[in-house]
Parts: sequence; structure tokens; C-alpha cells
Amino acid sequence: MRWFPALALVVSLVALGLLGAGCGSESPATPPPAPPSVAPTVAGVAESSERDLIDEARTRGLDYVNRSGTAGKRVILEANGAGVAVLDLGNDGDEDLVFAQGAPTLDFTDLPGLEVFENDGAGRFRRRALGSSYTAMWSTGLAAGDVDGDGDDDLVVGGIMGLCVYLQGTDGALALRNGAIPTEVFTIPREKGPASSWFTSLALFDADRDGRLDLYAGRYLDLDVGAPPRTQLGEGPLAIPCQWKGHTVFCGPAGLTPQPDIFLRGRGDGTFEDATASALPGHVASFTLGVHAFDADGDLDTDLFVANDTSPNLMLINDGSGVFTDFARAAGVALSSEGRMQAGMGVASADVDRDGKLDFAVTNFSDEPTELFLGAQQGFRRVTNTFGLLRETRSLLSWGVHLADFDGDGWLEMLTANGHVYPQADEPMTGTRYGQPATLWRLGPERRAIRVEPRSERSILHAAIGARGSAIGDFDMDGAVDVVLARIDAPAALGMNRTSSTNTRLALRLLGPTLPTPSAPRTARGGQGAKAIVVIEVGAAEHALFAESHTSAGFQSSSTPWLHFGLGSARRYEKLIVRWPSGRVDTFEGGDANARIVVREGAGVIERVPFR
Amino acid sequence: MIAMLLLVLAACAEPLQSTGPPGDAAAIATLRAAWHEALELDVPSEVLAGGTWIESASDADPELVALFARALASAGLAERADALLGQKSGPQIALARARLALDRDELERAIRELAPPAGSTEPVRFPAVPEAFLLLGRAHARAGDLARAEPLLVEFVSRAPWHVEAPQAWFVLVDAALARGDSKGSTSRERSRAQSAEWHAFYRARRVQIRANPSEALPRLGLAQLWLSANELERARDAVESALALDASFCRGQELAAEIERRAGRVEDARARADAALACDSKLVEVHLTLARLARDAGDTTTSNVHLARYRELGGKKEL
Repeated sequence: MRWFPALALVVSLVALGLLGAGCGSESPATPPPAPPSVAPTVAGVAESSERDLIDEARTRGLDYVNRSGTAGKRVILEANGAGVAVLDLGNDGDEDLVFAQGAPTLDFTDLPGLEVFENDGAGRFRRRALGSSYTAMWSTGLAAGDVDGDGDDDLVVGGIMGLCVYLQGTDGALALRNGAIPTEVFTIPREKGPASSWFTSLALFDADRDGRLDLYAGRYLDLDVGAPPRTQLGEGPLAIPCQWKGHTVFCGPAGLTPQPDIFLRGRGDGTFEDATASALPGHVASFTLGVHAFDADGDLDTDLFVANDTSPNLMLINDGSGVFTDFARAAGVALSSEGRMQAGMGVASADVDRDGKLDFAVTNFSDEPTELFLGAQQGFRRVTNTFGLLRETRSLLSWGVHLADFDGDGWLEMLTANGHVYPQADEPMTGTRYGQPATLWRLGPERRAIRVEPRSERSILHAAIGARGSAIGDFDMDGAVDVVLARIDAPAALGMNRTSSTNTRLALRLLGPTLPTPSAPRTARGGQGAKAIVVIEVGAAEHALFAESHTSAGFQSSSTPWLHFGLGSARRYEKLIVRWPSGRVDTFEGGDANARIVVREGAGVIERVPFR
Repeated sequence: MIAMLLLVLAACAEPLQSTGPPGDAAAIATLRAAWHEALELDVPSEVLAGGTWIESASDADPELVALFARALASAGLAERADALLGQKSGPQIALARARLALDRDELERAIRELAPPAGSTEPVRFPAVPEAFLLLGRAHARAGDLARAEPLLVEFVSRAPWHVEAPQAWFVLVDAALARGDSKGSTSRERSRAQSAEWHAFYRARRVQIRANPSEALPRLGLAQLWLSANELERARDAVESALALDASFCRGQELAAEIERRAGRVEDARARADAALACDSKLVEVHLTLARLARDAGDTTTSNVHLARYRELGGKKEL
């Protein structure tokens, strides 16, 4: 009997009792106990005095270890790793972590749940069991946000065959919300039988400014997990071997079937409806890896950049009602500077050149640069080569990316999480390596990427261990942006920011109204899409920093919604201007630096506390 | 011819072994072709393994030196490429240096390597080499100066339409037209870019298939069809002959060879090939169109119509 690939998958899933995973059904009512922590301690952490991004995962109790198939990486599924989400569990103001997780083998018999780590407020973590219901699956992408409008962070989880919503309860536990996702998105009709969805990066944002979060879910490709293509595509004399630089490697994505992305409109109660057809007219399937929601054209609504693997990227411009049109080619961001399709992975946006327009970076494969685009009068201007990023990044295969002011000097840095997909990269003469450390560049007024070298062997910039997902947050609430890396087949890294002890900073959380305003446009309760301008200094040194609240930066991950500004040597900021998605603009007087400030639309500054 | 064919076959069959410097012009040409292909298919290790002698050779062919330097850079050994090129001069060496500079985002240095000397009326320093136009145009484009890049790239695609990097040049030309607000020009160039990109995608695939299945005639037939579509008749002929050298009874090879010979004006050879094809497989379709065209060109309308009718009968759709 010759099984059609997708049918084989369905049969194997039935055998495993997983069909309808997709979060339509729960796993056992009793969740597995949280694995015992292997960290030696979660108390009494001695902070490092080294000025770097020091990996303190182990001493801070973060003992997540990724499993992503076998070390040989013979199937593409094993190569993409997991994401990580920063969110506030328990509404206690600190930032907790949830990791996606794969499995040690491809037989899908040992599927995990999510791995949750609770922060004690000082950046020390303790494992926390999932809620009373969960779905075991090979999870990949995560997106955090308040999808039911009750004022706390919830979590959307994508994976192989599944897309689930977990709602946070009053006790801070995440519980599966059954029926949140329409079941038709779990499979894709194909001539030979339905293919299971492979979700990658997710973005929660308010597409139509109705105050409810919507979801863009990227999908990758059809894969028959039971019989994946190995060593060649096709058969007979016209077969194409799966090779890279002369080495036999796993097949894909080229030659495999891409899956279309989906757009789900949020109902505001934690459930979603499929609005792909109306929101993404003419959408063409491609190998989506990265999704980032930001206001690309500066018109207050939220647009999307979709980074695709070996297919053109998408720049989906929102018409304001949540209908998107792809302008990537016209904007010059679909392909390389010379029209080559690249292997787009992760995306991040911020105002790199301090001109009040959002810029963005896209990570790519080895021998391709991490691309940097600056917002221009119309569209974007590619500055990859003039910033020297081809030279800097061509030996790297990069995934997660973040544009943030790590050292607090007022200019942004770019951090990428790196690691090759092919273990064969360690063979001679490939020009790259399998395990790669994270990398950090200053993108300052020199308009040239200047690499920040590690100063410590404990730096995440030093250890040559491949990573995939990454997220930023301020885990010890000292005002400096930290970074968490979901390394592949390895323990997670927690890069605690020790890059500057003298520069001052400001952390800002923008929140929408507690109760929805009577009429749209509205700001979502979590403040997604809100923008802030912080004016610093007076006189000749006066300048402003601009940032937008969004969480979908990185790869398959969800970063902090807090906005972090570096004020350099300034002791105070002079003015704060907030532009809300509702259209309202609030202006606040300045204040002292080194503070965490929470602003709620309509209520003003509701909290101001100094950094720890 | 046969010797050349065997060399081409050998180059397609397996990675090159280190053989020492090539002895004569033909061997140099063969090695150049093989190294170009290895770099185009992103297998720099083949070049490095096959050219271990080159770093110690004082009089190596400059194009081979340039290709070896590109292989070093592609393998992450750019410093060795610098050292190798540092001792040499000439157009190919300058081009290789410019490529290295582009890889490092040293755009001004790349421009210095290839810009014409003061007082020159030429647009590039080495106008006899099409790649000089490409690389100088690329440097200007990456620096954001599309106005300077455009005429250089126009010249490049005109001189080297089947160059492996022609699709990239066309892409920049589309952007340049858009930047000038020339939507008609951009549309036309986009058509050229798409055609060029599609052709090169097939070209790459065929070569990969030939390497993977060196004893199979079918991928070589595909390569011959590609060259025929590009009107590169001698290359098409080489490819189809390499297929027939592997399998003399390959009927579709004989059929395509007949059309190639007809297009090249070698009428008798074309007829002989067509006859051989029909003798091999009477159900072949395209050969009847070739015969119809041969008869038409010879003024024999009756015979042409007979073959054309047979062609239509067998499902052929192309115009005479």
C-alpha cells in the first residue's frame, strides 16, 4: 500500500490520539508535574560585575533545555527550534517566561507541553506547572497579549498541527481555551488529502483598531513527518539532490510545498474567527518564518512584515480596516538588493536613525546579509551595505533579531540570535559554523554597524551555541534590556545586561483604557501599537527618541511590551508624548530618569517607580 | 571535438581532483569552465581541491587565479584570497579584488578598482570584460547611486545576456527605472528579468541534475533545450552530443540534434539526424516540425505540408 504523505500523517496522528490536537481537545485532565528544577538555587544570585550580556540562566533558575529532534538534523522539522515569550503572569509587574518545546524524536510519541518560568521580580526564575488543561504538541511560535480583554497577558501557541490559545486566570495560571481557534485552519486542503499546518511565527496586534487583538499566524510547509524527503527531491534521472556546498543535507524548503498564512480576527473573548480571505486578498502561500507587526507607513494602524524563506518577503500594508495589501516589491523590501530570494527568518523594528520613522531589520541565511531598512519619505531605504552588514553577517545564519538600546547611550544596537541549520556547516571550507554565538552591533551616529565583542567567556556573545527564538525584556527590573535565547538542543541562555552602569534609562508601559471607549478607533487594553516620543535635554543637545509598543520581534517569539529608552548622561527627560491607536495624543511633563512609568490612555501616568 | 566533449563530460561527472597546472590552452579553458560552474553551484571546495597548486604558481592563468580567490573567499578564507591577489595584476585580478571589496561592503574600494582612469572616455577600467560593467554597477547601486549604476548595467546585460548574474543586473535596472518614474521601462525590464531568472533557474537545475546523474542522458537533453531556447546553438549542440555520447540510442536526443543542426544552417546534418530520430522512434512528434521546416526552407511546400500535417496529427501545436 502506498500511503499519501498527508494521509499517512493523519493515520499516525490518530494512532497517537493526537488528531484534532490543534487545541480542539485537551490532553489529560491532570497535567504532568513540572519537571524538577535542576538549577542549584533561585535565591541569592550574585550579579556579575562584567560589562556584557552575561548568561545567568543557570544561576537564576532558568533550566529550560530545548529538544528539537536528533542531532544529525536529517529532517527540516528538526532545524527550526523553538520560541520564547515574555509575559506577565500574575499581574505582579515582572516579566515571566514561557518556552515552546519540541521533541527528541520525530515519532511524535513524547510530545511536551509548554515550559513556564515564573519571575520573583528580581530576575530569579522558578518552574511553574501549566494550568489544569493543556495540549501536548511540538510547539514552535508564541505570541503573548491580552486576547480576552481582562487585563492580563494570555498566550497563543503555534506548532506542528496545532494553534492554541491559553488564557491566564486570576491565579496567573495559563489554561487552554477550547474552541478558541476555528478548526479549519489546522489542516490545508490538498489534492492528495489534507496537510497539517506547520505554524511558525505569530503576531498578536489590533488590525482594525476595535480594541481586540487579532492574530497573524505564519505557516511554513507541508511535511509528511512519517516519510519526509531525504537526500533528494524527485526521482529518476531528473532528481535534485538536497545539497549545500557539496554536502548532503536535509531537504527543503525549496522543492517542498509552502503553506498559506492565516489571519484570525479576535472576538475579544479569547476566541478568534478566520478572516484570512477578507483580510489577505490575493495572499500567495510562501515559506513564512518571521512575522512582525508594526506601523510601517506611519499612518497609526498596524502593518505587517512577513519574512519568508526562499520566497519573496511580504510588506502587508493595512488600509485601516484590517485589510492588507502586499507592497513589498514596490517598497524594495521583498528581495535582496539584486532580486534574489533570501531566507528571511526574524524581524524587528525600531527607530535606528532617530528620525521619527520606524526602521526594520530582517535576518537571513549564511552568505546573505541581515538586511537593514530605514524608513524613508516613501517606503524604505536599504542601508545594509553602507552599514557594512554584508561583511558583518554573511558568515552567520541568524534567526531572532532585536533593535534595542542595550547600553543606554540613546542609540540602538542590533542583536541577532544565530546558528546554522546544517551540522555539515562544521565541515571544512563552508565559510560558516553550526554553533554560533549571538552577536551585537552598535548602530550609532556613525551609520556603520560596529560589532560589540564579548568581554567575558560567560557572555552570550561568546558561547558558540546555536539559538533560534529570542526575546527581550527587563527581567531584574533594573531598566536595562536583557535577552533570553531559546538555543536549539541546548539549555536556554539568559543574557543579563551589564553593558553600562552610568547611562540613564527610562522604561515605559503604554496601556489602553480599562473599559473600551464607546466608539472605534480604540486602543487595545494592552496598548499594542501605541507610540511614544521622549524628549531629552534642552537647547543644542535636545533630541527625541521614538518607539512603538509591539511584541512580535525576534523569531517565533514574543518580547516585552515595555518601551526602553536610553537617555545617555541625561538625568531627566523633558517631555513625554504618547500617540494612541485611538487617535488620542497625550503630552506629559518630564521627570527624572531611571524610572519605570506606566501610562494608561485616559488616566495618565498611573505608576512611576525607580528602577531596582 | 570528441576530446573536448569528453572533457566537458568529465567536468560534469564528478568533482575535480587536484591535477596540477593545466598544460595547454584547451586544458585551461576546460578548467575555467569547471571552476566557473563550481562557483556558480556554490561548491567552492571543488575549486580549492582542484587548485592546490595555484597559490605557489608564479605564472598561473589570471582567470584561474581570480576564480580560486573567489573560492577562497566563499570558503571563509578571504585573507588567503587577498594574499593571492596581492601578487598579481590585470583585469581578472582587479575584478576579483572588486568582488572581495563588495563582499566586505568596501564600496569605495570596489569603485576604485574598476572606475576608469582620469581622462578616459570609457565607462569602466576594463571595457573588454563584461563583468567589469556588472561589478562597478553593483558597487554604485549598493552605495545608493542608481543613476550611475544604470548605464553600466544596461551595457552589461547587452554584452552578456546569458551571464549567470544577468537576472541580478536586470533587477537593479528595474529599480533604476522605477526610481526615474519610468513605469513603462520598469515593466519591460521586469519582463526581461523574469525571463532571465527563469532561464537561469532551469540552467542551474539541469547542471545539478547532470552532476547527480552523470551517466543519464535526459538532464543533458534539458540543458541542450535551454541553450537552444537562448539561440546558443553551439552550446546546445555540445550538450545534446554529450547526451548522445552517453546513449547513442537516445531518440529524443537525435530529434533535438536535428533541430539544432537546422537552426545552425547545417541542412544535411539536420536531415540525417531527423532520419535517425524517426528510425529510432516513429512516434516522435517534434522531428516532424523540423522536417517540415527543412522542406519549407528548401522550397518544397508539398513535403513541408505533409510533415506539418503529421506533426498536427500527433498533437504538435507550434507554428511552422
